[in-house]
Amino acid sequence: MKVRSMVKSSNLHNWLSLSLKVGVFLAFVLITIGSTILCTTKNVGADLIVPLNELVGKITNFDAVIVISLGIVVLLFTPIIQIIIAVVKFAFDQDKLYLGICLVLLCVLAISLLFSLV
Amino acid sequence: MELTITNLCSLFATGLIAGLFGSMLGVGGGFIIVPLLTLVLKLPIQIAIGSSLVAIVANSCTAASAYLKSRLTNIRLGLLLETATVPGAVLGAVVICWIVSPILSVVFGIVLLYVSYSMVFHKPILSEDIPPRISMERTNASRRIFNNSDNYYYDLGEKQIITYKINSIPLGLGMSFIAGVLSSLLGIGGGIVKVPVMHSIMRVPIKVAIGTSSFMITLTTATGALIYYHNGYIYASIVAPLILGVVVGALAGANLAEKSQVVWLRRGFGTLLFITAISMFLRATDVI
Repeated sequence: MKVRSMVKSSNLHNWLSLSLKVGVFLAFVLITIGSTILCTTKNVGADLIVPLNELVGKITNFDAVIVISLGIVVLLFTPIIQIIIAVVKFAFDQDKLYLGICLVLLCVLAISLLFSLV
Repeated sequence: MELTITNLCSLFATGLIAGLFGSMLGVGGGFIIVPLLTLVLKLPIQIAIGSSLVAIVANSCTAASAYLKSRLTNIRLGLLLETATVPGAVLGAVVICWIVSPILSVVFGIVLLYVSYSMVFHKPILSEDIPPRISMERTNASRRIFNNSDNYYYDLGEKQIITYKINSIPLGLGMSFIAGVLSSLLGIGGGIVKVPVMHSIMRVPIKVAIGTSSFMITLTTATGALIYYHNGYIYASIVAPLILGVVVGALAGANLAEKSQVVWLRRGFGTLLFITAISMFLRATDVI
């Protein structure tokens, strides 16, 4: 039982490591594509990142700033996905203490961001 | 900032330098990116800080992934401390709207002075020579590990499993809050606070403290960066070359670190940071 607990903990390390790698890789690819378009089209002036709420609507436009914005959003949400993975893992392992801590962290994050972004 | 090839190359080079020296010296890229963007490229400090935070997310995700893989991260401790760091990061990112640039430059300069002093005189920030005030429990006995499934790691140097106990959690939570505020306010990772607190106060072994801090920095900086993003301080033409440079530099730095004289590099870099700190003070008083 205790050996299984240690193995489960190692699995969580591997899952989180993989999620970070995938997130950074995806963001890197998107930002590289966006930067290439930006350099070739010389899209001077329109270089502010597209706001989150407008990004979904504009995603079909293959514009440099939109592709870069998407890459940045993927990058910024990668650490948050880690907490969601941890929540699922702790729930699966019935580790109530750390499931609670993760849920508190998610709530703190959601409340803080909503409070500051409104 | 005008979108020219020269500017894009300068930003890529800034990211490259930050990633290279950051990973070689074990400091976050913020101490390099913010001064370079403000002093050399003459960007407003709020934009420099926002851009720096996004670049640090990329850098710390790469580092944290490696530490997780090596099992040098105490995930449970990191998640617990993040419940205090995240509100701190939000507070720092929100109050920056009300802080004038000269004050930010002065605060940044003061923190830079501390970091440069630590580097030149080899005071441990991210080094491994902080002597524990009480002896850590080191044993090969597997029973102890199973009793506390997350508080152990395998030390490659000593070739044994090291277990430890965590102390002073309330103080650690308080200091983590301060680390969060500093991170978002100055565009740094906050490792200069997190690592010493975890190691010296909470008695976490230094390797685990660094790995856990790296894991925490990903979330702290991402939280701050999201607020800067929302407030319009993030520009595609600034952040994109910066991130690409940071990732390439971090990968190169990890390889170069093994071959270079890190002690002399730290001293040289510490001296450079001292000059940068003075420049930040001069910028705050409009001398440069």
